[in-house]
Amino acid sequence: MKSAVTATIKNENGLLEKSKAKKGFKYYFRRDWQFYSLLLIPIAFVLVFKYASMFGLIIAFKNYRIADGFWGSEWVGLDVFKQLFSKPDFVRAIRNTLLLNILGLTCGFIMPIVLALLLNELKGVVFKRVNQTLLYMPHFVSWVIIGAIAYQLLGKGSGMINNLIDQLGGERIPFLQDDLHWLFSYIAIGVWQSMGWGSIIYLAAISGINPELYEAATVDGAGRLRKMWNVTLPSIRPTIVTLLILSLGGIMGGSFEHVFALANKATTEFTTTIPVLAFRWGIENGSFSRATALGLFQSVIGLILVLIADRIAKKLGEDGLL
Amino acid sequence: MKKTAKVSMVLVLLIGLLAACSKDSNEKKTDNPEPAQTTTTTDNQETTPDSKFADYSKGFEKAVTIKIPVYERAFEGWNVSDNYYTRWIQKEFGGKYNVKVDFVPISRGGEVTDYQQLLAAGNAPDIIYHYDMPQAMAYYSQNVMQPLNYEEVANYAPTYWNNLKAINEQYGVLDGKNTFVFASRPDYGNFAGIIRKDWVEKVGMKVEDLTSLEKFNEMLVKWKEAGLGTAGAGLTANIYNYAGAFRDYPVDPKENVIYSDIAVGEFTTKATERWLKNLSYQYHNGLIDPEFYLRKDGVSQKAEFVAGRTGTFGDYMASNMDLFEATKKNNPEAEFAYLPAVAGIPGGKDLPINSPYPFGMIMGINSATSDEARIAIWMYLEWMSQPDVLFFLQNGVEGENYTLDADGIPVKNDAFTGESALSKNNNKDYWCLVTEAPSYGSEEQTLKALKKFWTPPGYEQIVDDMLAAAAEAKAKRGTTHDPMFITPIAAVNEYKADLNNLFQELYLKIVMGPEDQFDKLYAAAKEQYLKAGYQEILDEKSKAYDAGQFIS
Repeated sequence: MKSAVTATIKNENGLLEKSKAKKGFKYYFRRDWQFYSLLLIPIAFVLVFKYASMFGLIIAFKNYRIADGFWGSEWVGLDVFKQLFSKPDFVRAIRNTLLLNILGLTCGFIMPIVLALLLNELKGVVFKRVNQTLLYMPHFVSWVIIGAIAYQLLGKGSGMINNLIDQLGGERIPFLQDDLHWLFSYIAIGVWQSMGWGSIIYLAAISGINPELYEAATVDGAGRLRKMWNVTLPSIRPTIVTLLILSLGGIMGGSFEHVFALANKATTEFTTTIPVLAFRWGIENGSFSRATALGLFQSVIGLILVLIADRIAKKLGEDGLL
Repeated sequence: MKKTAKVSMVLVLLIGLLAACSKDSNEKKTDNPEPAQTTTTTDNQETTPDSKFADYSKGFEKAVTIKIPVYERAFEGWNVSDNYYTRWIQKEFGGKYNVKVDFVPISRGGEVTDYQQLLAAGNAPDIIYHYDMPQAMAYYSQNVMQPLNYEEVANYAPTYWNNLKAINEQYGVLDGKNTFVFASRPDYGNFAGIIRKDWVEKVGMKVEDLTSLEKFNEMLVKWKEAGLGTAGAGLTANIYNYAGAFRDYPVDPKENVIYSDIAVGEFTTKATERWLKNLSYQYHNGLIDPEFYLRKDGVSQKAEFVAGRTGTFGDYMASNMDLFEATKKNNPEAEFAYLPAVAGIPGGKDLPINSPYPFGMIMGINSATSDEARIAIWMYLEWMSQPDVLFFLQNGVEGENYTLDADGIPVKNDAFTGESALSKNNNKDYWCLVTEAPSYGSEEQTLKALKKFWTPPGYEQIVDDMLAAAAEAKAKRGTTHDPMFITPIAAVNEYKADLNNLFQELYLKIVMGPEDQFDKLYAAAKEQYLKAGYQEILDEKSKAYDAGQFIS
């Protein structure tokens, strides 16, 4: 990256402008102010939606009432948290969140890598593109729609797949209407929805691998699988580690819609998760303080997990994030 | 150098942000005092000498925007916030008084959630409404409604006030503060239970035989044996009014008051146990829709009925309803009858019947609403209370939507699909701010007209039976109402969502769990429910009862 920058400087200014690495920000800003101004949009986005909204976290320490507003509501210290930790649903939500996310992460993290490796091996360009596009598609379908489709297909009473099973003389399977089946369907649908999209980044990383490595491997007599294992995978290892660290941050969170769209009231063993609870308390019940406290708790744990993962990655000799 | 540049850039952005925010909050703050001045000082508005209220009969000088909530019921092809009638309202009312009327869609199924979100975001409509008192009171206890001056209402909305003065004054005052105004509720209902008559007859019975829950279940067994289908059923959630039929009468007055709550299920009562037992029996014997817990709304239950999988369904009668035709399309042999309420009552016993409350929509004014907007709302209620306006909103354009018969009663043209077509429930979600049912002079006259609105051609018998049942109930009922607390119960607001969720989870577990473990499951569930907040609710209600803070 650095060498590329100095190369362009050389090309632009000739040999006279050698070793200008020590120029101040002012110089670069004046020269590239158009680029810097473009940067304002993402910075503003992050400030407004990621930082400014953090201000709202203060209501986790207040008895927030809509009418009193952020400032007017009374400070209550850690009362909201005490109340939160004493709720029976809280423990259950943590258990379920961890369970769903760890399972989801295990399956959902590996599948995109496998998929990227497989797609990479395809020779026919058209076939590859068509497949890639088809695999991305579910990512753009809203969970609400996926939920409805899932019940249309997998419902026990009148789902198409069950009707088929029934007609073939089999027993109807409660894909979504029995706790353990539900868990399996939840994970499978999640993987189906996200693997295509998740593979993009790996495909990009794979395309950046130096072809000489493959050539050298071929000369050494490596087959396709060997090359995959000894060239492709090690080359995308930094990408894998980075994404793994990032996804660990979400292990206490997870998608609200994913659970909500697939849940039904008779199969509730695994459906009370932290985001679902935050929705019920915050949106349905209007207990904004408690929901915020729950969200804050979740974020702090998420942050800690990311930091730990980052530390471990560094210990293992990877770059890490920070 | 680098650092300072970075820091200064961030600062510039932050200042810009803060400026934007504070501008907003300034606006909000000045919002209230400013219009207050307009009412006290004359501010170019003429005040009549004997009135302390400014005269806006010629319209507001500066345009005033009012945000009116409207239920979004997901009627196909119907845009609740922009249609022929909203434009007509804007033209007729808005144009006359220089008011911009914004309609804010509130989803019928998730209205509290919608309101909570809108309120928290500061975007809530100027009217905060609900059909049920406990929820209206919950809004009130969140401090999101402003106290009202009924004199002001009477001044700007004399017709409306005359119609509803007594009701507003009797029910609208909470903790000594004028809080709500109401729409009237003329005593007419059009909700009917429907049953597949052909199925009943196929198993050798008659609809008249269904004189108790036991008889009804007997018939369901026969339906099952004949391979016809099951009774329709749905998830019990959000609204808990199942218990009435399963109680022992007379009920202890205190128990009646503290357990009756539409928003929080009385999970621990004997009535609930009986209700659960019956459901469990029906479920395990295949008498009801086996996936009833997936039917969260009327639409999904209707789909089962239309497909011919279930044989009972409840719906609001309307001349343009498509229930019967749609069902016949799938099941050409289908015939329908009115399902009497007694078919759901164990032993077919006579239940004491409470009088309905005389009010429909319960409305408060958003505490963020400016004085001018509030006045504009009174003027809106006044305008809508005019018989010709109401008639137009309820019936549409003469010659297109309807023609007048000899008695001056509109005869609907249900085939009409032009621009001025009414919504599926005859635009009720617009005129529900002043009344729950149209009126056409005398009660007899009104009933005659309503009957026409409610009767799909060919189904006169169903409406006749429904009206006969209503008349019978009316004759039998006493002077008592469903009990209602007139002070907010804090524990209800605190635990409502958790208990609502827990109720659904627990009752399904019991109903769908093994029948022989019913008692064990129910005992454990009761304890869990009490611990999750229900005991606190009962204690608080008991205190409020002892303090006499209720009506019934």
